[in-house]
Amino acid sequence: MDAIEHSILKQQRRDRAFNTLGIACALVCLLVLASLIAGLLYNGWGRLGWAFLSSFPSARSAEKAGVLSSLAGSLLVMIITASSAIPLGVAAGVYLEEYAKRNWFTSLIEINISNLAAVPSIIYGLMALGLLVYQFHLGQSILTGGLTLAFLILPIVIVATREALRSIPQMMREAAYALGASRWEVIKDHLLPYSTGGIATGVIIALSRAIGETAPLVTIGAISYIAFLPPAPFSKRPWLTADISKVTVASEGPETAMAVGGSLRFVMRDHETLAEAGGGMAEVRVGEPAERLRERIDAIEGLDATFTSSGYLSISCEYGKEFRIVQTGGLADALKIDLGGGVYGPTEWVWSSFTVLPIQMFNWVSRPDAAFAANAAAAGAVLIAVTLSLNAGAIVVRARMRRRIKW
Amino acid sequence: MNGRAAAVGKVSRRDEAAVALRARPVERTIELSMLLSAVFSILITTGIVYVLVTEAAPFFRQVSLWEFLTDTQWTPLFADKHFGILPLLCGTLMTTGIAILVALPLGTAIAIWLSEFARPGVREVVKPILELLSAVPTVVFGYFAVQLVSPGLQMLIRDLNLFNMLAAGLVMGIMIVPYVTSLSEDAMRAVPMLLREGSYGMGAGQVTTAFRVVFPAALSGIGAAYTLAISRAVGETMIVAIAAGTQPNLTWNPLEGAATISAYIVQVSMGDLPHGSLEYQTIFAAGIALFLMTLVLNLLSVILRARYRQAY
Repeated sequence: MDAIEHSILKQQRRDRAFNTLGIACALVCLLVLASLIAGLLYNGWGRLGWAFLSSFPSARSAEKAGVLSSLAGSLLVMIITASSAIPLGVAAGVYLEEYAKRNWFTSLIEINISNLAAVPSIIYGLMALGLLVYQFHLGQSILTGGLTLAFLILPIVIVATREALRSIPQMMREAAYALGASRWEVIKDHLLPYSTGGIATGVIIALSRAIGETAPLVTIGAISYIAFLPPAPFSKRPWLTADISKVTVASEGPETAMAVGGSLRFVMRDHETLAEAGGGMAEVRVGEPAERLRERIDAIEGLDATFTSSGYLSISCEYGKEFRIVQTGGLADALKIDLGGGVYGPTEWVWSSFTVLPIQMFNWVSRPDAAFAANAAAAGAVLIAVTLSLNAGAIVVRARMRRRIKW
Repeated sequence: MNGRAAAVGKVSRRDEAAVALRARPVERTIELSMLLSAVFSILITTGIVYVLVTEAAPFFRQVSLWEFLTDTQWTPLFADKHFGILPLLCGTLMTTGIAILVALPLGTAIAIWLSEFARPGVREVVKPILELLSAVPTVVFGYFAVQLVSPGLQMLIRDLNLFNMLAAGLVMGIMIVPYVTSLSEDAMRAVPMLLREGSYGMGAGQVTTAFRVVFPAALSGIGAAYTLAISRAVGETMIVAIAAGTQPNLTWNPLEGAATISAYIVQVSMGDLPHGSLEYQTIFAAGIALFLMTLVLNLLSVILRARYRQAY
């Protein structure tokens, strides 16, 4: 008896010890999470505030630098990502779960999806760089970034859809089929409504993952110093101004009608930085034939330059844009060409350069300057607030859904 | 309809044909578009392979595979160019190794505890916490590593560089714990209660049952969890780029900084490299190395998962 009691006691002691070990390990994780959040809040507290959320980043002053452009970028990229990944993912999930037969082709697709789910995110960035940016000429734009992240989270959405559909008992399908519904009717009227909760949970988690992704967007070239917002639909397009100084016009033929000194620069008003518009850098030296000037202006995207029979330079622009010549002809001190006006279209923002919040944080963390560390902490706090609240929201949706549905 | 009840889980061929006959063209279009959506995932994989191969091919025409695999320096951006992947590979393996040493024991212990010991109420609290841990963006972990963990380690270990693989590896380990835990726990819960009850009936305690019965029974699934976690660690970019630095360094000393394959790709992408230059192509060569490593790990994980699902 003694030996058995002894052995039982030993077992119980071991069980308690392991129980304590398990609790300790869980506490370690909780501790790390807590100290991470505490560290962010402690270091970033000074920066957090409305000014931080509504200022552009500044290269020089850490106090004035804010996350406005990165928040806007994150939001816009998410719009593209969600609108691409959700329809594709749900459709693929429904197909794999409801339509596909169990053959080698279906297995291939399934293996492929589980492989894609585990491919490092930076590989998606490399693919987007080679394919979307260069081959498809989508550029380093919000569209490219959104599609990259959509590809990244597609496997998650597909798996979430399948899990949600799998949790619906077979009797629902059979009842509908028995009443004469076709497969699509069963899906549309019965399965999708029931699985919406599960799909929504998966989608929210997938989007929260996408918001925090840095590597693929850096790889496609999302620069981290963006001090403007992408053009809002139907907002006014700014004027581009070109200044050429010292224009002299002679009356001989179009070949020497104008000799221009200086260079043509296009300056974007309202922005701090010089931007080149459609190849608008042109340099013409004094004494060069006027044909050279005409060629240069003509080469600028959106402008068309020809000589009239009387030797004047006639400049016109693309349909949809406005164009204004302020001074011309004769001996003029300056020739002003204005190009701009009108409004932006509803989809021009997708072509804009952008940055996102995690890239902004990465940029600030990488600086050796200690002042920017506080900015990084504040940005991290905002980022974590977004991702944690999204995940918490998903958990709530899932819990609510479990309570409501009674099979 | 035709009086035949469909078997559970399958619509019989006859019913399927009846439904298909009635399927209007709209139905077939819908089915086709869904099929295309499913096939799209294959297009993504094709795109990845295509880009990696076509962009890295010119690189391998100029740099021999032998040099790529054996040269001990990686200096494509310097004047004296070397193209050996070993320093980057070493950085990846070192940081992954440290992360695994943290994540596997910690994650498995939590998984076993959750699956065999913890009360249901406790589980409902701990599981969301782990989910929240997995929701933290990796840049934030990187900040944590370089601003909080590394200075903390510097207090314990003198002469520790601010950028070191140890801090990066430790934080990466914590990041991976939720992956290990959730997949291992799923595997262990799939083990039928019968096995546990048999063990308890023989007089074994919880620890003995957990380690001698449940763990071995779920081994394939746990192995799948481990390989997936390793794959995640290999592909991780931001934590190592921020905390371990971007300087390629062939060393087995975790107190030094080193660049991983992924950190190198990020560092180069941030700069201005002309499209098509040899330096630009190096990121795709590095990308192929990374892709192959994770591909092997992922396929291994799929095989293991298939085995454990079959068993029950």
